[in-house]
Amino acid sequence: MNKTSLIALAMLATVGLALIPNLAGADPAVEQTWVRMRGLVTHYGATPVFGGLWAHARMVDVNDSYREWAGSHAIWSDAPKHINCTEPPTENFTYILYAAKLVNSSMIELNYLEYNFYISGVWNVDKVTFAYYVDENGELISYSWTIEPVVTGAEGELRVLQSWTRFELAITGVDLISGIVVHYAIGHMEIKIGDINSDNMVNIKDLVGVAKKYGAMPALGNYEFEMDFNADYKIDIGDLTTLAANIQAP
Amino acid sequence: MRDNLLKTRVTRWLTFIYLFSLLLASLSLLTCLAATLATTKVSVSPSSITAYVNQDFSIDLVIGDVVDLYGWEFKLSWNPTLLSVVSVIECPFLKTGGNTFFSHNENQDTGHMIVDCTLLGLVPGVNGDGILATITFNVKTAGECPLDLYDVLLLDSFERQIISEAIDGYGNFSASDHDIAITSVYVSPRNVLPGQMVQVNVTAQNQGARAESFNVAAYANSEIIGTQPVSLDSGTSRIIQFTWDTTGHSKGVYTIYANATAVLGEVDMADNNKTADETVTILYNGHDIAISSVEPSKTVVCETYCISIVVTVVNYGLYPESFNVSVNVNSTILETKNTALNSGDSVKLDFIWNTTGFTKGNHVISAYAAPVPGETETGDNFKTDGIVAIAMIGDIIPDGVVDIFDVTTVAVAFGSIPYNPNWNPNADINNDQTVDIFDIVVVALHFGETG
Repeated sequence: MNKTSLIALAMLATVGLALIPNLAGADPAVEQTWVRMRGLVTHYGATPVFGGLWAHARMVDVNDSYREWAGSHAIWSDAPKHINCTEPPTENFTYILYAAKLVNSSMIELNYLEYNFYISGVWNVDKVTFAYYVDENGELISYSWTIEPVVTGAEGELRVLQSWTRFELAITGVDLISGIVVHYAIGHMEIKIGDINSDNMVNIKDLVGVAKKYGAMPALGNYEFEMDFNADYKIDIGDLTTLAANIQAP
Repeated sequence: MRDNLLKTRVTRWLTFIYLFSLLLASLSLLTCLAATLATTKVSVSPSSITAYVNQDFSIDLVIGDVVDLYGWEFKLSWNPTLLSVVSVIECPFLKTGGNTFFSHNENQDTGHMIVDCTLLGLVPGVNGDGILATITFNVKTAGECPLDLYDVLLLDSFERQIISEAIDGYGNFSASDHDIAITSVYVSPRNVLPGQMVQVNVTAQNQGARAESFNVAAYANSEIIGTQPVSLDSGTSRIIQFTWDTTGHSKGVYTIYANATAVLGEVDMADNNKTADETVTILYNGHDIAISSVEPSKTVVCETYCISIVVTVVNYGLYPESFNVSVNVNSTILETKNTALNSGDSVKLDFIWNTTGFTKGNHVISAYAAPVPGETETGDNFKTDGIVAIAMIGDIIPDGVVDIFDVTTVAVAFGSIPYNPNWNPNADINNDQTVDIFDIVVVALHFGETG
């Protein structure tokens, strides 16, 4: 999928935003709110980039005992031709991307200040350099990647604004990361990790979607960051296992 | 003349083209009809099952006439009062197309399961007939129920749904004619000095439909106390008395159990053994306390997380005692607690170890009970039992890297709570007594880290 079609999809998804106030079957002693969002990273500071952001949060009040949890990561690069590429590389090349991972969240809020959604916490940002080696026929011989920390344990805020259409990720020590929201969901029942097709269930359709990307990496194969649940830059057995763990018997 | 010839030829060609088109249309129609008739079927095989109570039986999930199958999912329901799932195994049909990923999840309480399997990568799907999975059940009680196959989802290599028909199975489960059981084992007295007698009363019952003759044996730990022949009519029970002479036995806690030999044709042999609810303690003639076990709740704990250590202490002496018990990590005293025990009693003491500040690597866990006044047998007041590894967060297979082995370990135990068959305390990283998404997220957040 090219950049134009992804942006079109993003706009479509933003218009058809998903709000799931599903209270049926909820345990009255447990008040919980789940939030999921996916976004396209469009800028790193003033530089146009291409990438994705994923966030998943749970805020739960069990008998007046409040707990919250959030996971979030973003991957972006200023070399858009290599993300989501469908053609195999025909010569050796290196490829640089940046990855931000939320290590610990300190505050998770809906409708906080002027933000529709807000997560603050501690983030790590890495610069990841991939080196791909191919033969004269374009067949992959080997690959490697090196990770250089840009900032470690830095304070940061993910802010969603403008009626869930835009987001910005402000992490101390790095330029502002910003982009557009392509999908979000808010629910009072669990929103499961792995619902790739956003049909509010995790099943074989999601599993096959990830399985078909098996082995894909940035700039190699049809990599999709939102299927890389553990953000290890490869769609592999770890991602399938994470998804499968969310397929539950009735 | 020439015009007529040309007209005839044109007419013949038009007729030929018309007939050829008609033939093509007919063939297309037939192909569509054939495709409609050859709907892919997924069925429970055998469709009719009979089995005895406590017997295991297996069913296959069979698929027929499938084209380009890339991934499949089905749900199956059963009566959980009658059946429990023993295993769910992938069969090789989809593997003929390449490597696969297989997962299953059962809810034994509601009697539902969901099973998924998919090929991996950009490969075509598989065609034809085969077996998708084999499921083994155990019959818990007599009755009959459908094995309801539903929500079958088949996807081809273009992620399109393949229309299919699900065909259920039906099971009829009955009790075997032959079934004996040990229903209770009572011991008295519970605390004795060496040389005193212990009465062991064993109740045997014939739960089958026919008269049976069999042997009943009673044991103290692994030592046989005695064996007696028993004959029982259908539906009757009898108490068999054994006397255990404790002469020559050392102090300690003894587990008493009984066993009935299986009779011909018996299927339910799980209840042919029974252990007494209470143990027998052979005491020491004086003051004597001991540490009988030290049990850390995990073998691997992530840095900064807590772990529970349960220490069992016993009073083997003849007198009530009050004493201190401490738990050590290597040579460091973690915590000391005071406890009081009557003669022959034991207690489990729970200690919490917060690993913050401790280095990564193996740590030896031990416990020590301070000797009581007049105690001379102090050799068993100290016990080392277990090594606990502190690993970096997420590295529950402590090999120095958070990788797929850690993810898989959590996934295998996913959804489990203590005493579930797939419970793994090491996978319960956050100690909330459930292996859940929060544990997976901990591993995922640290995936790829080394140290």
